[in-house]
Amino acid sequence: MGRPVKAETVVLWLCVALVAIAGLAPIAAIAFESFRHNGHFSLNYYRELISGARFWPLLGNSIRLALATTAVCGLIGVPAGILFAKSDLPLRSGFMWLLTVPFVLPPYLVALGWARVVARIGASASDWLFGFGGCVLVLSSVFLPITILLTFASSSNVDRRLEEAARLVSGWPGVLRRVTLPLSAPGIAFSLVLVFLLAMGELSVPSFLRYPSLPVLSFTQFAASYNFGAATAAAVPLAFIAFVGVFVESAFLRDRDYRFQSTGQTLFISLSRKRSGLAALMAALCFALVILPLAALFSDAFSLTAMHEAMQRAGASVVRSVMYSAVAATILMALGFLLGHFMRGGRQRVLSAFTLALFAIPGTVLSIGLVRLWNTPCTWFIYATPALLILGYTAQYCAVTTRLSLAGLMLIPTSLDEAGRLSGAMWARRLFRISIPLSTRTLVCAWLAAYILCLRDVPIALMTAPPGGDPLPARILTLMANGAPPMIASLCLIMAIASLIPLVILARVIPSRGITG
Amino acid sequence: MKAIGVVVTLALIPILASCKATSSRTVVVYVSEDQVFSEPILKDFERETGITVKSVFDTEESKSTGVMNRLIAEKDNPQADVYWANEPVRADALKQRGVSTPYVSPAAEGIPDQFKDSDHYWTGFSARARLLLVNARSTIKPASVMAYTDPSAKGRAAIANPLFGTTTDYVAALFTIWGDERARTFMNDVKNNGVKMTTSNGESADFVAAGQVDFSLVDSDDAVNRKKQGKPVEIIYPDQEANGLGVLILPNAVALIKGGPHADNGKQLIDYLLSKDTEHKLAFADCAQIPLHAGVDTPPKVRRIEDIKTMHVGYADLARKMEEIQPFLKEWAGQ
Repeated sequence: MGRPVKAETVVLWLCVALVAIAGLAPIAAIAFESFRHNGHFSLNYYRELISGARFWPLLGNSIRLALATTAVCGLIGVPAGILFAKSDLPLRSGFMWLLTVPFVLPPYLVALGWARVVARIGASASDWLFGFGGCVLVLSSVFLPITILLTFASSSNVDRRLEEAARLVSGWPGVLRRVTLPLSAPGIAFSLVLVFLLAMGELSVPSFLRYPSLPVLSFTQFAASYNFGAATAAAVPLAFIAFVGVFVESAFLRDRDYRFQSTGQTLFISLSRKRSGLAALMAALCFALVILPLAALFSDAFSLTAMHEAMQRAGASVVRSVMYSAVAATILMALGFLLGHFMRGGRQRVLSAFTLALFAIPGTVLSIGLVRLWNTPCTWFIYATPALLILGYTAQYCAVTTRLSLAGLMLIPTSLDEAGRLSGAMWARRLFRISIPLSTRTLVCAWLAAYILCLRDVPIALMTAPPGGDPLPARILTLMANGAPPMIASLCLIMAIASLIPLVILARVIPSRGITG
Repeated sequence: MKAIGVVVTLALIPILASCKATSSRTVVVYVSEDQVFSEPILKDFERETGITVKSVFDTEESKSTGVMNRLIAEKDNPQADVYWANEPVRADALKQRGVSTPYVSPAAEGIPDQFKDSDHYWTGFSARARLLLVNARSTIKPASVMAYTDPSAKGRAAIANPLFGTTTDYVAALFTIWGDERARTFMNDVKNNGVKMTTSNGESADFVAAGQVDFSLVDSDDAVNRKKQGKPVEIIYPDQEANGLGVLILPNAVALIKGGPHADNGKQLIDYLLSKDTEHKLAFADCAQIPLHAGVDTPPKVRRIEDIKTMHVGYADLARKMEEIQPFLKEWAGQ
């Protein structure tokens, strides 16, 4: 008789199998195609890609765009997150959730809002928007909430006793620099890696604003040449950069000791005379990044006729979107929590790297892989149903729920688990009696984040939704071609409302205590 | 835990609901024609025949990788019965890749042969024309696409990205009619004259309407749409002189998918789409498409096909030329 297989191991392998089925197998299927040319093994697509005159400039553009967006998000998002978490800034909660609104919308809608703004200003602004500057502006406003929320969550959970001790010997700037920021580093670093990867892989905004980038090259191979192998080859550098991002983040955080205590209380910085000035600054930021583009986007939406037409055209898609996203979010929450549990203490780094690589791969590539893998007569129950769409969401976004869960789990002292183990509790019992009850907020946050990401997703929705079963973002995109502007504006408003409801819940779940329970 | 169970069960309902066997009174159609125009026609078909239409929409304007890639990827196990393309070149690409199958529709009688595939893999209906949309306040009134290279139009013209959609068709037509050298020179002259490249014909039309440029080649539906919105624009049918190039006509095209699960229903849908009645509806819809059957009524703003000097070019030639000039177009567009 061999050693009995532990429940923990079985569950780990089931989770790995799910990631493999949803993401790695489709990517492997299509990657295989990128190594074949005229029926033989060949590196032709890769050779052509690297030797092509366009590859290096486009790679450079993508990296430049991702770095600039990450820098803007870091420079604005980290101070804003600290300010919202640690200061007595008036209306801080309102500012924070208002700044979060662009993230819940598909990025192309925010770009469309800006295009409407500049159409009213004139040609000079249009020249500026359609290019690098406009892309950085739109992507920064869309991804800024990631940095703000993760900085907010991380810094809210820093052990206040450490800050109190530091406060005895130093002013607030010193406390923030020496204690708060270093202890919030995992959350901040993860947020910056996420922003970098999202900006690198973003297709709709560079395409809409006419800024040539690597995802556009990959997309062109699909859309103009229908060349799946070449398109996959063009997406491989994105996956490679995702790996580099993960390793940089790991190297940055290695051998550091983090101490957190989620006490529900936090030390507040009194801004005294600077309160009004900083509040005005935040109000200006909210106006510039959120109110201006969204007001332009929604300006035609408030008419009964437009709303009626929108609901007639897309009412069923709204319901479908909410349901598909809810199912996917539930799976992602469970999968992410279990994977996060296994990765605790720096284990399973390869798995972590793979999930982040899946996150970085363009949705179009993943979708084609899913179609290639699952479109067989025996697997119609997956291919011809929303199951394929949900598999796509699961593969693309499991990195987010995994890392959110990991960040939350790091706040639970390992001594609790050890105590449970010493008293004879099995792994499943410890999971259900210790980890899950202490992670209620983590689970809710992960579910909501996954729900929002699935709801706003466009490429997977377009490519894998079953016939007659398109979700709302895909329907808005297809109706945008020659659809009446007021109807499109109403659809965008409906999309925003569908996304904002969970955001309001999120705002109530993490008012000030971060993401753990 | 009970609550989680309820949530999971409720959430699984849409999946379970869609897992039923496919009904025989169903047809699956992949559509590249704009959804705002195509969906009402498909609803009418549903109402008149009782056959449920399951559609996957895509648009040339959104340039999603959508339905063409999906059809090619699904080739070995087709899910669609019919492909409704917004121009014949895509339909011809499917023929080249063995995705579609021939079908001679009785409703296609009366449609001129130049708008049908000679092997019956696709049939054209309700066409768009490639027109010049001009800002009403502009002093430039181009009568030909050659205006793109006129120094007086430097930086004042727009064109949609020629890697996609009907602009690719137009450029491929120029290469086919003029030959490679002349067409290359023309395209380079256009670029050197500071043309603004837009993401779509719709965006080009918006640029013209807003006065950001003086003129642009667009599709007739974009042009008529801006006119209907009351924008200050004029429509010019270019190159209409006796020895002129003519206007490129791009009909919708419908193709039957090889091995589709509901072939008979697919044929019924194709017959419906090719009918005079559908052409009449599309002529009077906002897209104002040009009927290809003789004797179909048109609104005053829609020219009859016989009143237009058209470009003489075969769509299969266009499809081949399009593949051939891809590297040039990628370089031209900087992608």
